[in-house]
Amino acid sequence: MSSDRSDEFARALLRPDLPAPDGLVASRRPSDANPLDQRLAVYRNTVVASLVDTLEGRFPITCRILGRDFFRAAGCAFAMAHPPRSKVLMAYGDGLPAFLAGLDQMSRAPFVPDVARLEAAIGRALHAADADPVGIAALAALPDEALNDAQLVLHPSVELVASHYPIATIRERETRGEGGPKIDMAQGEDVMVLRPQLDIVTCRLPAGAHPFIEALLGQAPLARAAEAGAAREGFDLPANLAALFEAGAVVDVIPADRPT
Amino acid sequence: MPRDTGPRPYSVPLAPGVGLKACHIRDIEADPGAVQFLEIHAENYMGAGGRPHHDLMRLRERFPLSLHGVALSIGGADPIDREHLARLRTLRDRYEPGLFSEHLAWSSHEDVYFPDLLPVAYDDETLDRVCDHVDATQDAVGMQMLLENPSTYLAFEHSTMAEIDFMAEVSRRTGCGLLLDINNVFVSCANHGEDPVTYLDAFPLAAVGEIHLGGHEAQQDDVGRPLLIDTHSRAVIDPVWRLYARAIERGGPRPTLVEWDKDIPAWPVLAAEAARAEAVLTGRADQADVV
Repeated sequence: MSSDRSDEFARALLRPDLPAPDGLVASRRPSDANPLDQRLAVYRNTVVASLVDTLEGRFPITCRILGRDFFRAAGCAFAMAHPPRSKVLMAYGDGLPAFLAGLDQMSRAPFVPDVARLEAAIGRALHAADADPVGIAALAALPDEALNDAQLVLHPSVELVASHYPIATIRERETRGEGGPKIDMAQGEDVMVLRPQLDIVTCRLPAGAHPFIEALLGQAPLARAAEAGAAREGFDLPANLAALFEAGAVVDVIPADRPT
Repeated sequence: MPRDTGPRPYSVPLAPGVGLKACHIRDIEADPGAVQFLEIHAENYMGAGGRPHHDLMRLRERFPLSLHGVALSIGGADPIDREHLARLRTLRDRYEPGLFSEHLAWSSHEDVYFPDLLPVAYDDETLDRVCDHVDATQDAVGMQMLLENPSTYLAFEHSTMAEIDFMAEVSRRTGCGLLLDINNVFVSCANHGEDPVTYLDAFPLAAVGEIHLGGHEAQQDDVGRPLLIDTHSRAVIDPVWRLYARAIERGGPRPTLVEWDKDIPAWPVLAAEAARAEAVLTGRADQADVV
């Protein structure tokens, strides 16, 4: 097929309003009168349905909250507007949370795009590179004077998601599919997502932990990361360090004199 | 280099295999039944780490592997995607598959990926391009590839050759083998009003390195003609089993994969399909088993 012909075919795949491209016939039999549009629709449907299936697989809780019909309709609109640029579909849908946030209907459920951001982060963490966490002994082994300049290397799967809504609590509740006490929707949650071994861990972060971990992700030395955390009231460095190692989020401790 | 010796089995045997699904892993490890190799969709293992690789590494110690790409776009008008070839090469080095296959189809155009196997015109221009792409693929991945016949729902006015002649010529020029998907033969022939037995008998079986079997959905189009859709969502139907038995009788046994990718059944259902393929392969199936 020439480049012009594939231009036309490719355009028609995501635009059901366009007529079938020139040069196509419904079958290899010249006299065949099978309706061409119906044949083309098989390809159109497969392309879009595969993309929407991919999104549904990656955003199961978002789908449950919005209802499957609404989610698939929104997913379909997203897929037609933002088809994948990569052949590796496990990364498809990073743009869905922002797309959902732009929909008028979200004014009634403004927390949903943030839940989708959390699920997007979980999807990335699932396929991030493997690395073995180290215990807090790796930090304790350093002489006191080396602590300030030491660098904590975080697991490649670590991501932060901050929200004005209790996104981790909402996700857990929906995952279990159970009722429970009313969730305080005004209680925002900062969440760390990671996959220290094979399973995803989500941690609700205490005050100051988000800027602290963000600084560590930016390869700041420990003292500077601690300053970033301490800019928030109530930041507790020892507790944050203990929790970070406990979660399996640290894979190496690099003293300042060891090249990175 | 891949090896035939050592603890990791390399060669895919002339026996049944299944497409690997995460939900079947425990069952396969407990009792694989007739299954003697596993096939994976390459693109599902192109993440850096995590459970898919962890599970596959363990299974790979026990089963030979067939690496089946679904996204390379060998029939596309765009230049072949070198990054994607590098990803395939990484998988080949990591898992040492005994077989590697891709489709006679396109799925990318100007950097947009369409997750489907889209049809190509069978003309000289496309033939040259497909041969170039197959050459580049075999060079980059470092092993022979098998080219699979597609399910099609449309054809091109300007096609000048039959699908089989097109595939045979690609195989002749590039040295690639062919993957004969018998369900695709049945689906395409029904959609194009052709006879699948005639198609099968004309297929160059000597070049076939693997056979695929799968299920499809049957619809009718608006003028009442059959419109079969290759969904891999159900059991292989009896007419496809009969075509399969005919192919084995004429060409001899081949590694045979049962594909089931949607509405995935409990393991015993898929294991029974593999057992049925084994009966055909070993000549134990009498007509009653197959029909």
